[in-house]
Amino acid sequence: MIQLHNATKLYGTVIGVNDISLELEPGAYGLLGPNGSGKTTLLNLITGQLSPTMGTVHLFDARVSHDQQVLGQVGLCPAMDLLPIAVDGIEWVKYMTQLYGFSAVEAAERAHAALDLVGLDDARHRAIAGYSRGMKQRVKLAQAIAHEPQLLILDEPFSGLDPVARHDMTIFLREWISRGKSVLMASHILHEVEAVASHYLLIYGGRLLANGTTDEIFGMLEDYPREIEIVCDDAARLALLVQQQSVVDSFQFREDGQGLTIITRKTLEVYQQLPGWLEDQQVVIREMTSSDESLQALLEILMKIHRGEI
Amino acid sequence: MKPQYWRAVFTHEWRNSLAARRFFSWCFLIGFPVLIVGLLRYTQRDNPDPMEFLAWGAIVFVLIPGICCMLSLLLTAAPFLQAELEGRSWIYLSVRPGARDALLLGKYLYSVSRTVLMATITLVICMAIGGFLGEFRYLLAILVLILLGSLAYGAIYIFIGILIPRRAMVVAVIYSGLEFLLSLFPALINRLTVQFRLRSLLIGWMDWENSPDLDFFASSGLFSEVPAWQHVVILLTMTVVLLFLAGLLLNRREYIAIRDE
Repeated sequence: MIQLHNATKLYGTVIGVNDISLELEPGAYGLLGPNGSGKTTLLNLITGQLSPTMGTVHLFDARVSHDQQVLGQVGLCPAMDLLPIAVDGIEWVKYMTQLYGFSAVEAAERAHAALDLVGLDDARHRAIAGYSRGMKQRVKLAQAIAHEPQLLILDEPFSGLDPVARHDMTIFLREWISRGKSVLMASHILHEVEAVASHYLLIYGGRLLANGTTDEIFGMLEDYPREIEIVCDDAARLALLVQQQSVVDSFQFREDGQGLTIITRKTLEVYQQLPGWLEDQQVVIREMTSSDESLQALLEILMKIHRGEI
Repeated sequence: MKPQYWRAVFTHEWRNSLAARRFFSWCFLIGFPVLIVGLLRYTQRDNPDPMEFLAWGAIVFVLIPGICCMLSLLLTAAPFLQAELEGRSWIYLSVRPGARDALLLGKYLYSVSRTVLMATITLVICMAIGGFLGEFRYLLAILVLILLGSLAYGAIYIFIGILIPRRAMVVAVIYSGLEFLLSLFPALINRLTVQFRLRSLLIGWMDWENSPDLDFFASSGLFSEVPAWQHVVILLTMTVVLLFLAGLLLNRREYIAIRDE
């Protein structure tokens, strides 16, 4: 479906995307990375809005820069918010659908069907200028799916949505995928992508750091030390217990003195054995988190591996 | 490119153009030549020696196929790409196959048709005010000049809009001023201007070549007596070449508003 071979995009001397090679078969993919990591540049390369400075990008076996017709199989829901334009939602979606080559009548039918699908009811006949963020997001989604593309590309689709709209978006995307369609979704929030995609592309500093399923990516990190934060009422007693354990590589006291940060290569064993260590020791654990589960921490570890620092 | 692509853009632009918020631009573009002509007529009301048709015709020519058409095209053709970039609609358009060409052609035809319609209305009102509505030959000549001028200036402004989208209006205004001055330059360079071709066509079609009032124009080479078809071919060739180049640029250059990179 998508093939990139050593794709690099430079903005003058700034690198937007750095030597990315990947091959994606049809499916649901999450493109994860913090703001400014190169996600949008990568999507722009895939959709042909940017040409790679070096390397090649193929979409459905065609180079977008050479064969724009291939874009008919793609729907893009960009991150940029719609400006408060004066046209009705239905008129705008119809206009966008006409630009895929449909007649005015067919485009209107498709626009209505797409707006039904994303759940924008009577509001479709009102000017977009008066829409809420969630309604605009629905209109943006409708224009991307009205022509029934094979691949739906979404850039930060949950941005600015309230919990109800987020839930609706998740349900919509799951249904879309269940119909055998493909999705490539960029986000900087891991759990949003987790709810939809099973396969991840992790990008940071313009580089593709990892590519695989959740298990594959976390499996890559198995042999690298990770941190577990424990907040408790007696940090000194906990430290005495922890230092005797072979599964703990090292530990340090938290700055607030309210617990420990444990560094281990065997997080699962620590989680399993911790209740046993605390048995009859009168230490009350108030909170336990693994900061490494966050996307930022995951990316930082991957960057360190990439640079050979660990 | 299928016709429905550019027709979609053309229809969309016309629908927006007829919205109430655009009413002011229609009123202004029709109103200011009418106002000038009206004032001129008012000052002539008690004049025992009324203005000759040639003088009146020259004023209407400068006002309508000249200033009125140029202004209308300046407002619609020159900023056509920048409007999409600023309005954040470019990102939606550019991922549709053939939409770039559709945008170029649809917006160009919209600009030209809007200008022609506006200029025709203005022309009829101005001629009625002047009491020259019966001058069919002149009316027909000016109507053709409006069409030719709109086609040529539309292509020039569209080309500028694609070449320098962020400063398109400024560059187009500077170009228009320079073009007007160059067209009055008594040298060969004036032949490169649209104004020179339009002026020559009007003078030829109205048989004003030998008018004593235009002696200075004739001696300074400010119009040409070559056959009219040559001027028409030059104007149309220029239009086609500029639109072709504009299409090439639009399809090859990267226009993108990058938000979070």
